[in-house]
Order: sequence, then structure tokens, then C-alpha cells
Amino acid sequence: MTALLELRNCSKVYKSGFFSPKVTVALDDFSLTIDEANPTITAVVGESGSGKSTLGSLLMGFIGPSSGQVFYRGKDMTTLSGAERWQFRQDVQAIFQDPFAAYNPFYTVDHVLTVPIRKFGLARNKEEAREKMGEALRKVGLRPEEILGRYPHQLSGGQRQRIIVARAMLLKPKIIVADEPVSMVDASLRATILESIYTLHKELGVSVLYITHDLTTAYHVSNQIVVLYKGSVMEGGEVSNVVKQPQHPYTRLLIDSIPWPDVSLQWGKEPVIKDDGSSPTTTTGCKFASRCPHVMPKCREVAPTFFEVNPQQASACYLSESSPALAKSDLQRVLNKA
Amino acid sequence: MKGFLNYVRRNPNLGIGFLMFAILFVFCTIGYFRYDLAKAAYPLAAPANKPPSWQYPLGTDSQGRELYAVIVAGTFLTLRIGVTAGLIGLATGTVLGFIAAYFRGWVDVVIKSLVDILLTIPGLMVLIIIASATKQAMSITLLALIIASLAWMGPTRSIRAQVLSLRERPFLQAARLSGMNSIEIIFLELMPNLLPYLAASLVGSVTGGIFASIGLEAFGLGAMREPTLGMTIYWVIYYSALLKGMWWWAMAPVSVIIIIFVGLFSLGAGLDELANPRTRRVL
Amino acid sequence: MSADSTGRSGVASGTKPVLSVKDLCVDYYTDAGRLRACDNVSFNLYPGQRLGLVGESGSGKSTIALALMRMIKPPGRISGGRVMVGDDDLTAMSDNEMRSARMRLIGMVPQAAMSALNPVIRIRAQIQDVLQVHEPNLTYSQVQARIIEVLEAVELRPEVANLYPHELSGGMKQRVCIAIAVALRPKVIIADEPTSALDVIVQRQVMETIGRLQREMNIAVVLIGHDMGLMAQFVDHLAVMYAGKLAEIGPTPTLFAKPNHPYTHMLISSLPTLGQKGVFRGIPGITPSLLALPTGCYFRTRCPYVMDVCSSEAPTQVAFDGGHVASCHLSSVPGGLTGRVEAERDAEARLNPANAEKGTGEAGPNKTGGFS
Repeated sequence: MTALLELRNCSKVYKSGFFSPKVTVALDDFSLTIDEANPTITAVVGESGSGKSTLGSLLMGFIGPSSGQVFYRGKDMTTLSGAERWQFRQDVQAIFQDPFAAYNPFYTVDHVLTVPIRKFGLARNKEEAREKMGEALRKVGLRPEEILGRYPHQLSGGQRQRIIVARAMLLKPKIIVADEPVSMVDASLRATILESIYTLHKELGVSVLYITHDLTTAYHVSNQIVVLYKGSVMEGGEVSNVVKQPQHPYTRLLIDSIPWPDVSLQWGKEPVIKDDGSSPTTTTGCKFASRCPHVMPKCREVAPTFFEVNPQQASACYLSESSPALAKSDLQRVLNKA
Repeated sequence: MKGFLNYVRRNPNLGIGFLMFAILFVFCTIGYFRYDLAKAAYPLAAPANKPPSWQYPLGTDSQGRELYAVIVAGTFLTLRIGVTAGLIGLATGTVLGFIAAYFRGWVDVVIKSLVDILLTIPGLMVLIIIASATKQAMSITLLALIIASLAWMGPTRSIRAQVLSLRERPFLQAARLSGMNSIEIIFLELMPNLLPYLAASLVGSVTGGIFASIGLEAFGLGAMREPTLGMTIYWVIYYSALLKGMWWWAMAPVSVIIIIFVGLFSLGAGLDELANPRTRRVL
Repeated sequence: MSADSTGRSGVASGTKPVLSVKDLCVDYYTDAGRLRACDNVSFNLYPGQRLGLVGESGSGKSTIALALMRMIKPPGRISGGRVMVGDDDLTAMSDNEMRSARMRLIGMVPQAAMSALNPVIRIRAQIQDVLQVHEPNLTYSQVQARIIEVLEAVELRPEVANLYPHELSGGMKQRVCIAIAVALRPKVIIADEPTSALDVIVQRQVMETIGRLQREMNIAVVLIGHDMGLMAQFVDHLAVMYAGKLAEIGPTPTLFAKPNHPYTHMLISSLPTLGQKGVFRGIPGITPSLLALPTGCYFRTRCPYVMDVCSSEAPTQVAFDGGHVASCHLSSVPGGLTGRVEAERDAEARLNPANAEKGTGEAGPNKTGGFS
């Protein structure tokens, strides 16, 4: 059965500078499959520079990979016909990070809802459109009378973000790429917005790619997780496994640095080793080698492949090499088992 | 109206600008109804060299033109040149700027290189050369077109910069995700956001056009027969008016030019503030 | 009425507070009317203590930061109250006196270090600036020595002094801002969301640095933010702001274990922990606009425990043990908020035995540290 969206060994490399080009590897040999029949919420967790935003842009079709392929319903994205591209546009939607910048300040907030309705033919006339808009807004906990006709600056950040989620609901896509949807929203509203996203997944069977640096919300809302560091996947698997029993030193460091809202759980047990500056992107070794407390000589020479620690967790670290090896492109084996 | 006055309190430049143009408007309306501009602004309409009096409010010049009528006609004509040149320059600049910034790639490289190269050419030199080549055939419209031909580069650059800054904003990504194509995005999403900026740029363009025309005319390169403000200055110099003590002849066009300048400048500053909320003054 | 926070840090009672804020009021005069960004806020901070000021956007916490530094610009102004650092009354000072007091008595680590540093001046010159203005008697070599001293205190190599801000990473820039703040060894430091733009690992490092400096130099720290998790890890006393008013203040463990204001309670429970996956407890409604505040208690439009008295009367501050103060009518009801919360939990447990779990995250990384 052909998958809905598949990334196969995708890498994205940026070259800058004219005379001495500097090469930045944003994403390195990344593979992921999203099935229509088996919708999941996958969290992609990483810090800045990890490549998670690049991944988001790739999935939304805004950029193409430098190497590797992206397949939509079995066809390479670069070979899609106009009609197929249109279908892709309908199937893949996004929720943005900045609840203010996502709106065109010249128009009322209705604009973000009316344009896709018109373009994708979701309603036959104005009344039906208004009805659908009202319904979607109510589903995210907003009152249409208070929202429609207002300008973005007249509403709060939480309301604006909920409208964006309502927009996603309206379009009934198959995949939603949510890039830091709650990082710019007040703490008290995060749970509500995450709940809407979760509902979207449960009721409409939408697969969600939840891109974030916040492990706590990632744990809460997703069923599987992929941890990125400098463009490479360090660990992946079912979310409870990875978060409660992290195998990769980077994951452990991340989890140990989470400020839990619990006075008895103190952070800071794992030491943070500062990057000793040994070349980050040109070596073929493990990207985390320069900061790893358990680094071995072979880590700097050859980057480890995945090791399947258990049927729902894999770690790219030689510490786990007693487990069966797993090729980079087969990461999917430990995912999608929700 | 009250809201407007309230805003003017915070943005005095806009108020000054409007005031200047209000003065001009009143001045010109009176003149329009009092004089037959087709006759009074041209030579031999009245006795020459008369100082200001009740009959000739601004006096007359050495060729027998009634100066009040000259100023009224001149203001119309000069503004017409300025607006034509400014509009054409801005329109061209807008289209090219949008295309260059939105599509990027080689289109951007071509347009930007062209603009940068043309900008290095001294505009005044080119204008003088072209104008002196067409000396006899010069008319108001031709003058406007000549000025416009060199006025589009500045707007292209600044609008390109503005669009580049807006380009990465998430709401454009949202528009793409909503199925809009590039043309729709340019006209329906980007353009409305730039309207305040375009309005402020228009004022700048018009100002540039007016002063280019006055400059050329003062050199004697304008339409000789027309009583524009610049030509009036040319005649003032030609007839050595100041040496002969005919101060009224020089004062008239200079005063009006000052009013126009202050008006346009203030209007531009005021619109600039409107377009850029960050510079808004707080009460 | 002020909250006297003698607490965990073992400060002997009778010690004078290093920062004393009493009935501070800040108003903004806008076209739409006067709004009260800060309404009669009072708290005390003792030497070596860490106070957290937590609230959402519009709660007034950033306003307080600016007010303490006397940096409120028109159309806002401090319309009442008093801010004392040691024996100095900051609110009564003239502009010149305040300029000298800033950074010397009370320092600030601003939000978004990226914008706080001048991009065209080297780090050395920026630290030098502060030193030269406040201590003009230092010789050149003394100033340079201090610069190195202060950079090493924030764990930066001395070579950093020669760099420009754009050559530093986000974490390093934030450390430079901390260095500038402690250069004159003030008595109090206000850290306004110092880590909001930083990654989680860098955040931990920066907070550890601030903590270490605070202990070494015995500086009192006011940490302003919206991340309750960060507060739980770092501060020993916590003040919760809502719509300009102080909802609750007290020792951190007490606030987390037995909060007495529904907002604090709901804020803590809305945060995801490792214990309860898939259970979302958001706070319904939105923060009221400061121009249209509800009558009585500001929080009543979103409070699940609202009573009739809440709409007619604004709650007064009620003091509990250990410097814990809360403004909620439930404090006068027997059992208080804790009683209501537990009753709710029992009811839910009876309906949904599978979901029942007491307290915040129990499962998770072992409490003793390390992983299996």
C-alpha cells in the first residue's frame, strides 16, 4: 500500500559565500513515512540548528531536498502534475508558530478562512461558507460572533492561534505540519490548543507532525518521537519509551534539562559538556561526538547507524551496539506502531 | 472629522502638509475664477513692469503677464508635470520592484543590475542633454515623460527592499498553503500591505518630479511659452528683474515654490509616519 | 499589606529586606482610557533570596521589572507606591540619582539579549561603558581587570571581550548581559525572561550560571517569566500575577503543593508532566483586557470555583503560614481551595478509576537522578 507521504534519505545542504563557500548541512539522510491508514502524531524534537524547520518546509513542499526523494502517494514530488500538486496542497496543511505573523494585517481574520474555502471549493455559497467557519470556530472553543469581522490586532494571541487550528480543521487535510504551535502562546492556553490538535487527530484521522523544542508538550500530545541534532536523527521511537528511558546521550541531556514544574524533580544531573569545537559538519563521525560524555574514538570516525533497542525504540549510538543494527532508511520500523 | 483632527495632533506633519495645500487651493480657486487664465498668464495681457497694486495683486512682469494669473496657471502646470512624472516613475518602479523581489532568481538579478547601473548615471546631465536636444518641440507632457524616464529607478529599489522584507512573513506561506498562486499573492496579499508605503513614495516621487522640472526650466530647457513656475524664474533671471528692482516678480514664484515644498515635505513625513507605526509619537 | 517572605533560604527574621516594594501602582494613559498595569503590588526580598514573578502576557510582570528600574516611559507612569533597595528609596530619587543607582544598586538582565547589546561595539567596550559611568575613578588597567573578572564569572573566555555581538551564540550573548548586570555588584538583579529565546539545554546552563553568581555574590534575584517549570527549578519564593494584581505569593514548595489561589492551581495543572499523558487541563476563557476588567475578582470569569461573592467584592489578601499570601474568597471558606480540589479529584477518581493519579508527575526520571 503506497504511503501518503514518504521521505527517503533526504538531505538538505545550504551553500553560502561566493569565494570560500561554507556548507551547512541542515538535514542529513532523513527518512520518514506517513500512512493514510495509520494516522499518527509524530513529534520532531530538536534545538535550534537541528534541522526541524527545514524538515517542516520539506514536508510542506516549499523546498526540495538536495539529495534523496520525497514521494507523495508513491510519486516523486518533482514529477507531479498540476492536478496532483493541487491535491497535495489540499492534503498537507500547516499550523504556524507566530499567531500574529500568520495573518495579513490588512484583512480581517476571516480572510484566513474564506480564502481556502473559496480556493478549495469547500462551500457552495456564502451562507454555507459562514456556517462552516462558525462550526470550525466553535470546535476550537471560540464564539464566531466575537471573532469574525475582527482584525488580527484586536484579538489575543491565544484566540488567533485557535483560529489557525480551526482553519486546519476546516480544510480536513490528511497531514498537518505544526511548527511550534504553542511556543508563542501563553501557558494557560497551551493545553487548550494542544487539545484541539489532538482532537483533530483523533476525530478526523489526521496525521500530525509536531515540530518543537519542548519535550514536555511533545510527550503529552504525540505517540512517537524523533530526536534531531544538527540535522541527524539521534533517537526515535514510541514516545513513552524514548522519554522515560532515553538511550542516546543527547536525549538524556535534553530530558535532564527540562524544567519540570515539580519541585522534587531537579534538573541538572547530567553534566553539560561544552562543544570543544572539533569540526561539526565536515567529519563523517557522530554529530554529537564533541559534546558526548561517553565519546569513544570510533564515534569520531564513523557515524553510528541505528540500533534497535526494543521493537519501539532505536538509538544512533555505539552505546547500544549490542542491539541489532537498523539502517537509517528503516527508522520507520520502530515508528508507526501506535 | 474629530478623529482626523485628533490624529493630526499626534502627527503635526500631516497637518502642516494639508494646511499648505489648503492655502494653495484657496489661492488658486480665487485666481481661477477671477482671471481668464488663457489670456492673463501670457504676454501682453497687461501693462508691463507694474508693482503690486489693488488692480494687479501680484504685479506684472516685463512681458506684460499678470503675475497672479501666472502663479495660478504655473502651479497647475508644475503640479501636473510633477504628478505625471511621479506617477509614471512610481508605477514602473512598483511593477519592477514587485517582480524582482517576489520571483527572485535571474529576473531579480537582471532588474537589480539594470537599476544599479542606471542609477550611477548622473540624472541631471542626461536630462539637460535630452532637453536641449528637443528644445523647440518641448511641451509640458514631453518634459514630464523625460523626467519620468529617470525617476523610476529609485522607487524600484525601495519597493523591492520592502517586498523582500515582507516576503518571508508567515502570512504569505499561509496564502500559498491556501492555494493562492503567485499573481494573486502579489496583488491581494502583498500590495495592500504596501499601500501606505506607496502613498508616501508617491509624494516623494512627485516632489522629485516637480523640482526636476523647475530646475530644467530655470535653465531655459522647459517649454518656453508656458507660464510654469520654473519658466517664470527663468524669465526673472533673463530680464534681470532683481537688478531692476522688480522684487515682486521674483517673490511670487519663490513663495509659491516654498509653500509647495513645505507642503509636500510635511505630507511625505506625515504619510511616512502613518505607514510606519513604529515612528508614531506617543501622546 | 505586604508579604514577608522569610523562607527556605534560612534568613533570620529581623533581617532587613534588600528590596522592598510597597503598594506599587503603574498606570498607562492611552487613547482608550487609563489602564492599571500594576495594582498595589507589594513584596519583600531578602539578601541571597530568589523570587519568581510569574504571569502571562498582560499580567503586569514586565511592567514591574521596568518600574523597579524606573524605566517606565510615557504614556505610562508610576502612580503610587514605594520601591526601596536597602535604605535607598528609588521612587523618590531624581532622574540623575536614579541613573547612578541603576546598575549599581539594582541591575537588570533584559529579555532578548540579541537586542540589548549594541551590534557595532565590541563586548569589551560595552562592559567598559557601564564601569566607567559608575566608577570613574578606576584606572584603565583596573577596568580591564574587572572586565576579565566578570567574563570569567559567567564562564566566558576572556577573548570574548574582543568580539562583536554577532559573533556570539544566543547563550553567550545572554551571559554577556548577565556579566554587565553583575559588573557593579548590585544588591538586586532583575532577570526579565532571560532564557525565553534560548534552547532548553542552554537555558539550563544560563540559569545555573545565574544561580552560582547569585550564591557567590549574595545577590538577591527577581526572576520574571511565564514558565512555571523554570520557577519550580530555580526560585525559592514565587509570586503569581494576574491582570496587574498579585494573586498569590509564597514559598515555592508550598505554592506547588497547596496553592490557595485557583489561578495558581490551574496554571500548575495545565502544564504537562510525565505522569498524565493525554490529559489536557487548559484554563478556559481568556485574560480580560485591562480596559474592561470584571467587577469583584478579576479571575472570576475563568474560575471553576467561582462563588456569588466573587462578582460583588474584590478579594483581600489573606496570610497563611510561612509568608504565604493569597487573594481569594475561598480562603475564608472552610477547607479552602485545597478542600475543593481534593473533593473534585475524588469525584473524578470514582468516575474514572483508570485516570486517577494524585499530584504531579510521579513517573518519570527517577527522583534520585539518573536513568535506568
